[in-house]
Amino acid sequence: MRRALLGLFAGTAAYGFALGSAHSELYATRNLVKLPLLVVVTATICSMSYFVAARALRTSHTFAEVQQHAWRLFVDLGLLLGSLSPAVFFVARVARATDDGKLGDYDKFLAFNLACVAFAGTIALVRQSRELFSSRETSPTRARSLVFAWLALSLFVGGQVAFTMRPLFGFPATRGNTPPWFVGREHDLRGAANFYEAVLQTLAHPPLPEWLRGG
Amino acid sequence: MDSQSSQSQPEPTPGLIHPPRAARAAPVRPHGEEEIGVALYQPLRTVDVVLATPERVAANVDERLGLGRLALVFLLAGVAFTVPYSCVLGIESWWRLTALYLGSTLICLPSLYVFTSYTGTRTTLGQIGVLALLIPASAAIFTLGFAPILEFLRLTMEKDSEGIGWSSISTAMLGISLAAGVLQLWRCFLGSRQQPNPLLLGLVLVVWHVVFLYVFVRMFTVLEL
Repeated sequence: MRRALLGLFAGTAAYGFALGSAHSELYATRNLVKLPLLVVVTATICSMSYFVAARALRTSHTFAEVQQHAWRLFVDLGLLLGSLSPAVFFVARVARATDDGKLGDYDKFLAFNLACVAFAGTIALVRQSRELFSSRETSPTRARSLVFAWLALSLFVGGQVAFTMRPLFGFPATRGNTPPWFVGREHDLRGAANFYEAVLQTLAHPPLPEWLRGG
Repeated sequence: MDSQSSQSQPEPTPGLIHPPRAARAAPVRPHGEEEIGVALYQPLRTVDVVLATPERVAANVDERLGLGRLALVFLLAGVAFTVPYSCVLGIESWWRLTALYLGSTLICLPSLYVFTSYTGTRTTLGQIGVLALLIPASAAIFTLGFAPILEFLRLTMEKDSEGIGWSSISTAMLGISLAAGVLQLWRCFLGSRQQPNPLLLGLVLVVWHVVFLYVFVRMFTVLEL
């Protein structure tokens, strides 16, 4: 278990470093701590709801077993993200070298990372639901439903944790600034005050401030 | 413990509704008195009884076994497990969620009993009480799971933002908890094996849900949640 946790921290830290490299060394080094912290905080906040979901889906796992399985999901996710970090690092450095000093490829880089996390999350989900199925007398459908519920809870909470821990990778226009470690509930550049508003704004796509627009 | 409880089971009595049609299905063991007693003081066992074993609760209801203790377990769960979420909303509000879930259920319990009796289903108040109390008990456990999440959101979000505030997310969580409670009642109802006229009782339950939902919404408004 200790090795697995070490893998989780190393994987998420590597991914965080690659992510922050799109902005600056300051962001990259801070992310070495921020990304593992994001995972730990999310898993801790969700631990009780993981258990409630497991009992509601009538699996026969104890509280401790539920936490172990849920953490294994994060360990897998961390390892998978860690394996993606060289690719993300390359894309981040290219984006940084070619940006316009304003918005750059921020939106594309964000979309690319969302795709990476979704891909890694799906693979981890499939593997963990198989393990859950093989470890106890849990039907495949129930195991999948449970792991899906855990992932949905983690995404719901983890999104807001990530929003609170901003900046993870900022706009090129903010390069050279030294922002606080966590900007918390401060509004983002499109006016969102939390993760859920940010998701809505990603869909509605309101205009950015004048000073960030290209051209 | 389990073998003892199964040995001490009394002869099956007329169930939720007569006559039994259990012959074709495998028998489900009801919770023994001792098992239910443990759930009174062990929270993890309480969660098991409330959430994980609706078929066994249904067997208890069918056989009228340990209904008093089951009702007590559900009642205590409906009170105790709502307190953390209520306290997140404000220490002085510690009672509000209990009033919301348990209060709404108790207000509507007489109507459920009278309507089911009136339609000739020959249910006892104990049977109906255990079924109905599954709603606040299950909902309370869900709110327990949501309590740390809400606390985090409350710390990191505004209450009533222009877009989405933690208050609106809290409303959604309370709605999900209620839905989980209602679902658990239906799981138990459908797990019952002694229903000669399940359509009629199902219809009464559906109509009762409408009344219950309206009372619940009014209670939600009154409590300023």
